[in-house]
Amino acid sequence: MSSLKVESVVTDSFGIEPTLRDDTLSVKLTGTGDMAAAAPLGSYFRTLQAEVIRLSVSAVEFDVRALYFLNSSCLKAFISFICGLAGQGLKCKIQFLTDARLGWQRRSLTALERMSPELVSIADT
Amino acid sequence: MSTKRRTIALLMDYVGGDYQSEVRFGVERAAEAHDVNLLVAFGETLALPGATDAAQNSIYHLIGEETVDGIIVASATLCHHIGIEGMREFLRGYAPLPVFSIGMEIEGIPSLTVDNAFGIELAVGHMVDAHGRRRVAYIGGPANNEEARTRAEAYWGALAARAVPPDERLFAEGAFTIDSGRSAMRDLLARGGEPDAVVAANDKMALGAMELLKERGIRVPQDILVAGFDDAVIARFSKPSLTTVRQPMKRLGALAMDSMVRMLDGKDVQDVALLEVELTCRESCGCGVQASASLPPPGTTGRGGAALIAAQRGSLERALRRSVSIPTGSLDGWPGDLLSALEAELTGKEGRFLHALEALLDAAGRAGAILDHFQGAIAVLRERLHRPVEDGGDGVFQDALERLWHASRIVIGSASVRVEGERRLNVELASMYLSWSARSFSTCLSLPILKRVMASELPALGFSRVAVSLYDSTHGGHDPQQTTMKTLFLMEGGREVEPPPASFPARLLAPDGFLGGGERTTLIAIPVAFGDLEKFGVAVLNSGAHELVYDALRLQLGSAVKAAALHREMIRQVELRERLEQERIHQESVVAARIQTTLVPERLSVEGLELSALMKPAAAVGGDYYDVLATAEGGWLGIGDVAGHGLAAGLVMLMIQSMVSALTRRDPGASPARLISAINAAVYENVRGRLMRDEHATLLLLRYERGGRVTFAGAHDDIIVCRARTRRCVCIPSSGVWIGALPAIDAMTRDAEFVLEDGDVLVLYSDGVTEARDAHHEQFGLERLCAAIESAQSASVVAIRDRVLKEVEGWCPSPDDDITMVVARYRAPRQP
Repeated sequence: MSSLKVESVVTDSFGIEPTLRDDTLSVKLTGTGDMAAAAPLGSYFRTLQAEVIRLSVSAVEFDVRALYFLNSSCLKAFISFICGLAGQGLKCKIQFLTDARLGWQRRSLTALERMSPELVSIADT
Repeated sequence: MSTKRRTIALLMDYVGGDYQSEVRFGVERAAEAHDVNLLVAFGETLALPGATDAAQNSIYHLIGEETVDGIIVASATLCHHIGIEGMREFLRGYAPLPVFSIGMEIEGIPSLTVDNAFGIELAVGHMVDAHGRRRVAYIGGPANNEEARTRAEAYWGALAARAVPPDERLFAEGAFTIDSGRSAMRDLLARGGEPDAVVAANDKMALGAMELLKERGIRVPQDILVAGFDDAVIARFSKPSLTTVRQPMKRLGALAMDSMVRMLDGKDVQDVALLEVELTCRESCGCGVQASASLPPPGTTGRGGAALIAAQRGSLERALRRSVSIPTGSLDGWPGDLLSALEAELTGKEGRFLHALEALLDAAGRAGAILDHFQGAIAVLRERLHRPVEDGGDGVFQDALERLWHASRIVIGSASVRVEGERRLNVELASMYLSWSARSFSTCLSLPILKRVMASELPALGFSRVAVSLYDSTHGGHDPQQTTMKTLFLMEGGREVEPPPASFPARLLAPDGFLGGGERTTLIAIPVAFGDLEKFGVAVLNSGAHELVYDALRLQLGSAVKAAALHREMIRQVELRERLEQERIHQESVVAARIQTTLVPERLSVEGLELSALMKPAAAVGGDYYDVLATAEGGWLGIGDVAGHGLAAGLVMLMIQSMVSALTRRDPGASPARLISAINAAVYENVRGRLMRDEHATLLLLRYERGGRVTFAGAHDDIIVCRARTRRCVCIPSSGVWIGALPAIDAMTRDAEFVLEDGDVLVLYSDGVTEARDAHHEQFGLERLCAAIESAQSASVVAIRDRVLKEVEGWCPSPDDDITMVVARYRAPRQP
């Protein structure tokens, strides 16, 4: 059985924790996605994209309920990830688990959903 | 009145090795006897002029009159490449210091060599005369080595003297190593000369030859006889044991020191002295016994044991002395003492002989003698004192003697085994400690770590006095006479001490006071170097550690200093690269800030709108955009933010600004949605297709009509309208998608509209305003922004803008994103 070859990332202010359940890859993001997180997040998502392709997962679930802030540079990593999967012709569904109380999530993720409605969905909790 | 103790240097290529080890031992013991300091400096074999001089040899050029009073040079170990002329030049470089050469006869330099020619004559003669061999092959040493040349000439001479026809196929050359002995033997067999005996110019080559013969199934001594030269320790333990010319190497060293002391005392020494050699026959020539034990029997005597000894005492002493080689002169009277003890034993003082023998073995062991050779001494005594009953001997007396010889052989055997065991244990301990220290030295990535490792590892290796000093400049071609060093590590009495901070001339080898001192010392000076070119400094260490350690430590220290230098250079390069990268980013930010700020409209003038705007780039410029363009029917407002920072974001922002300006100029009444879609297609192509990057941007375009209608499209932060009628802010969300992320966004980009009424205040802003965070990471947020606008809504648009800015900056004094705002108050046309 294939296992995930991408590790968790934990910094003082930011965390990424991937888990693979059946054919769904869950990625929990926590902390603050500011300038300090932008570069590592971009590089992490490039690795994650390769894993999605290698494992042929059918869905990626981003749990951002504990991600209190995401600036435009970090958002760029999400967009590149989604565009990258679409560019490979993958029909992998992407779902965001969000917290309606966090303003950035409505503004940024709604635009993301509009951009790729057939791939991206938002589940408010 | 006390005088300064003399210091003598011994220069050699290696401190281990059979020959070097024995010679050094002799020099060291004689130095103790003469109460002079000894400084052993070892590097490598000297290189030919013009060839790369090994960095290891830099140590030789640092030896001079500042540190020593005279120099003994083990020339035979240094001359392989440069020959006798090169050695002469090398030794003359030390003038006016007295110099003494070991192992090579050099004109104008007092020299001591063994009788190399006689040694080969003995070996070859033994093969021909004693064993009847006619096809005696020879493996010679390096052509430039004077001793090797003398030995080779003696081989031809020994054959000629016995009318054995010379055959070039039976002569091969080696390099005094086991491997070269194997190769030479392979050549000798391949040539078809069918040798029936082989004499090698040293033991190592002989052992190499025996290895190859064994591999080929050729038996020694049944099929071919083998002899070597030196009588190295290993010769006794090879299988079969090696017949060899015994070279008194320790004595060579001791006599060299004796001569040097005489020279310093102003006494005469021989220009060239020759030391005798002898043949030690073992199994490899088929003899299996020691030739030295055999001397012509003396005349018969009918008297008792003591009388037998007295009758031939002088002859017996000579025979005993020849049977055992004692390296230094400290035990010169041992044969007489042993015979006296035997006389006492034979006159009834039981146990005196064995007691004396044990004491002698103990002293001889300390002097470095091979204790096994005392078996030969017992053989001499047994042979000389044996009187068969049929020849008138006393049977009881002979039985007592036989028991004494038997007990003596057991004593000698035990002592020999004990000494060999101690040697083996010492080798094993040295190997183990070296293995441990190698691990520590291999992880030294800086000089402070190297110091810590030396402080912890060197005592275990047997060191208590150490000075490791490094050159102040490490360029390769420095003049040793001009170079200075600074001590990195200093150890006294087994403890690390603070080295003096000042530099000192490298030719002093160690900091002031280290080499001299009250007690007599023997110190070893080794180069701290890496490979043939990189010289780092000099280490001076006390003697007494196992000889394996010095050479290994030389390599470990050189490698550790090199690793530290490489690591330092790597860190420097990384820091330099980081500085350059930071500088590049800074320069990019400067350019990007200039692009961003110089492209904002100089004057804000749109009919019906009171306007103020602001763009304040952060340190890492964020790629914000705003524009205000007047048209005949009203005007266009635009605001956006390129995701990412730096020059690339600035360039994308420049593209957007140019396209918006061009498209609105060409079609002032165009649909904002159509413009956004067109701009998206162009930005997508430019950024992803041409710049090969992945920037995207928020962009909101608003087309304002003088009547108050505002049509907009795109994706950006909410539009805020502070209604004059209600005095409250309304947030109008945009409904599009980012530009630059997808090739076409026509389907998801729609126009929307709202209407401004007289006095309404329209505010556009970037996320640098709402996402500015305080010390607790709380964002300024949309609510605080609206509250600030509402509280200042009656003021001028400039005052509203400044009020918001003041509050944002109060919230977050050092924002990490650009802050951009456009504030517009609508004034409805006056009714006619």
